[in-house]
Amino acid sequence: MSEQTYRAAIVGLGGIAIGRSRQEVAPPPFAREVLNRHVHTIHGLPNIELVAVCDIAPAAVDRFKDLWGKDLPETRTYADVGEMLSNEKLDIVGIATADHAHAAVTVEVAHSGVKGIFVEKPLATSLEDADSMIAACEANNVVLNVDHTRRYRPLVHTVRQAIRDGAIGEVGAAALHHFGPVATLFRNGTHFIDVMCFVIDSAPVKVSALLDEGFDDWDRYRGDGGRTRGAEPGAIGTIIFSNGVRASYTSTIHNSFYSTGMMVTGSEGNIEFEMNGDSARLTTGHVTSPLGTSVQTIVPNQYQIIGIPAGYRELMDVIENGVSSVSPAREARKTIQIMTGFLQSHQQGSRLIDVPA
Amino acid sequence: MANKTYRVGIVGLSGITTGAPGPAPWPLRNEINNSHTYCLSLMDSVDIVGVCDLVPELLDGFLQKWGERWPNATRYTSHREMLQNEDLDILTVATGDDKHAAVAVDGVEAGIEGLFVEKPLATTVEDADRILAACEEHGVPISVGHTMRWLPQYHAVRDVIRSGVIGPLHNIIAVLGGPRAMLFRNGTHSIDGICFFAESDPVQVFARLEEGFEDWDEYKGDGGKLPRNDPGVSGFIMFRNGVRAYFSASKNTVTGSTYELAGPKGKVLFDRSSGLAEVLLTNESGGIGRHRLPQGEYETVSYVAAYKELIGLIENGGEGVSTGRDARKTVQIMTGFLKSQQAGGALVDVDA
Repeated sequence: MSEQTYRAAIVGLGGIAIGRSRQEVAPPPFAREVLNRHVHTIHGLPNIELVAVCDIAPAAVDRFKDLWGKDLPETRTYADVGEMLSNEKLDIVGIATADHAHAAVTVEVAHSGVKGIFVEKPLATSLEDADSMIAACEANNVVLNVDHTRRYRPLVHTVRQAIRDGAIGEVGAAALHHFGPVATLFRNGTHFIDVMCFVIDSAPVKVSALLDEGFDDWDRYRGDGGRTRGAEPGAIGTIIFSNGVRASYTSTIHNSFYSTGMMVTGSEGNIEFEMNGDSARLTTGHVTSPLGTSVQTIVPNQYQIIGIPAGYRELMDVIENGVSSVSPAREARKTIQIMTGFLQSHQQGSRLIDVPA
Repeated sequence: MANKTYRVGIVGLSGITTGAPGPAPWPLRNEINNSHTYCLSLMDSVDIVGVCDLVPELLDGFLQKWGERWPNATRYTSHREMLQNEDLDILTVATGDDKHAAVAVDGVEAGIEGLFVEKPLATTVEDADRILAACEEHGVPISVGHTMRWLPQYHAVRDVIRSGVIGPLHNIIAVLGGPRAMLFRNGTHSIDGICFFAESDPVQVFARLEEGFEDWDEYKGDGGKLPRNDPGVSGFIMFRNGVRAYFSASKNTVTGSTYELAGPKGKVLFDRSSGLAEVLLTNESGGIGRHRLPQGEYETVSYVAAYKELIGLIENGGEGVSTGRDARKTVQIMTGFLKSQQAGGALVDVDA
């Protein structure tokens, strides 16, 4: 990477943007915890400087100043995105506004001359929004990557590679469960549906779904951007991919047990992992063979840079060297197709429908 | 138990009724083999007095494999003739999946004391109801060959759920794979397992059958012989108590059957093939603790336990672990899946 220093800004100063990784409590001899928030990441990475932050809520700007004023005294604060964009000559913008507000900000930023955008998940809450973001970025030659963070962690890569290497033979089925205090479709289901798309390596074709009770009016996204826990539904649903794999998604806002994982089954075995776990379980062999089945634990290599820092590093690498991204908006769009397809199917009595194109 | 010897007749002589065990390595004895005849051979209160099949080769096969052990077994090609001649106490119906009702009803009306019907109970709710009505009218106890209900691990898993450690059950994910992952023939086991754990009545379903079965507005299989004549499926089941379950059967995946049972405080992972069951609970340090359930070992499991239980029901009354009412739920769900498929995969009420 060159010695260029990128001028960066963050729009939307919620917890994922300005929260501090608790580096001060890292026990010796460790230096600090992994930086898993945007401001802290940009502050910690070389070659990138946080020159500005923006939020329409004065209280959020005040919180930023409280938390970061001492470390980042030069960072200017804005309430208006347009004003920030015209003053700051930005290279990279991180967008962490409410879920349904990503599109307007992204389109505006894309037209301002930046080189790359790192947008929080979900990419958007409607396909129209997602497409307007992708179109604006493509027209302006802006790299648009999405913080589906698990694509920046080693476990899902190890699982996908094992599947690509034929560890379970031909993939036939997958079952994903998503439970926990915020097991809602758009706010967090997007992470795991994205992992499903990543691991299954295919495009969704058809879906059917039933939302949690009480959300029958959800003919489109009607949430509050992810702020309130009970404001959006969990869902159960089926996804059929173009490679023939049938997958299921099971979540509910009524189950607070924090467990999210997936089992992928193929012609020769299955692989099972918790999304936040540190290993996967690979079962191969046939119950009918004399040796029965064998179980292996797959443990990924460890890396110094993972998560949001890996996301920003990759963004700079894509801008400079044109490498391909692991989490481009076109990939995240599949997840929007699935989630909005779920809403449409629910409206149609859970019928199996083509995902919205 | 009285010293009565029960006269048993079997209709349908496929592998599940007549399979013989292979040699067991010394000093082990009695390889566990889940055929009816084998399991009856381990009991001393029964006598197989009649066997019936339309296929003469299967009758000859029974004679070769079991003639010595069951010298009193008369061979029939007509179940009516067998019922007329043999004064049966127990009738086992293991014909093609869609042919159970006629044989079972004839048996009950002929005066048997206990009925054992292989799974699936039936392929239509109407057939299931004919069997149940006949049994109720004549006071005949019925057990259905969802044999997993006579395996200790099923009960160990359900006891964990009943104990409340994972909180009220919310979701079940049951995955069945293997070349014989056919909805009616073997999916019935998994779906029955879902009902066993959910402990409620199915209300609604939505489902998609395997491609190529779009014309299945009703059961159109061959009674359970060939996988290509009985579909795989992916579908959801909504129970009255709020449990939502997913079931998938895919023939192109590896042989196996797993359950995941989740509540607000934890979940149970259960691999039916190996019998391994683990309970996952949040521990004090905020991580997830995995507790492996011990595998109970019992002298009578599977069909031995099933037939002993059926004899107990005949002698003492009471309720078995795999009743006709239980099995009917599975028929409701499977036929509900067909109904949903015809409605474009929509959420439909199961037949009442």
